Amino acid sequence: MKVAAVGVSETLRTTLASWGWEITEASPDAVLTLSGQHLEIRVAKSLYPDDIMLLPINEPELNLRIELAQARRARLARRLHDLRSPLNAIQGYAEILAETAEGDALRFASNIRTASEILTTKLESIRDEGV
Amino acid sequence: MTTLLLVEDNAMNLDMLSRRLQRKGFDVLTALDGEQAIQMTQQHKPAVVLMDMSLPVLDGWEATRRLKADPATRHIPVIALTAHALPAERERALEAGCAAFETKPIDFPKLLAAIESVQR
Repeated sequence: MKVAAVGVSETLRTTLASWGWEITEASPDAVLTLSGQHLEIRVAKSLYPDDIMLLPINEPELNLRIELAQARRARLARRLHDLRSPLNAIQGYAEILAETAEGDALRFASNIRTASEILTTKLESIRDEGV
Repeated sequence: MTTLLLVEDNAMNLDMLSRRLQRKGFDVLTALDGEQAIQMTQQHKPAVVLMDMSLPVLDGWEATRRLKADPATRHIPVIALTAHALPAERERALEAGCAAFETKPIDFPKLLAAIESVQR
């Protein structure tokens, strides 16, 4: 949704953007105005009072939520980091084995490597979703 | 023989990577934290430093900054090795003075190419 934001703080703009709302003054779908403890959302081209919505906005609570979300992202990034270190060892040792192994052992070493590559790809998709 | 300094606090990763580099014909020195990394670099002047960034005592970013601030070690290229795969991490490593950036799990042929290219 394209929205024009009037008198809205930078923090709130960031939050709106994180909801997937595009903040633009050019032909918006809705106009947002901060009035006291409420965020007024008005359909841009409508004159009808029914097309106006008021959302309660409590700045301290909003800021707290933003902080919690940031802490969650940082925690996830740390966890992903903790997973990558042992994965690095698994993959590296499998590659060392594959350099000298033959027959079944070579096949097993290459399977370990493939499995660790799949895990790496999965970690990357978790990172892209959550960080 | 090209001498590398590998800085890594994780024992298994240190063992694994130093073996692989030795097999490729490098002389590999090791350090377990950022402070040791600086001492070893000043003392042995390796051709390239491979620096894990999350290190005890002194982290890899600060160790790299200090190596780059010292006229005696500033010319030695540092390659960041990090398990942080975020794009911002790359910027952070380059800002600290790293010449290249490799993420874990290490893509070994890519690391060898980076070791080659930072020495040019």
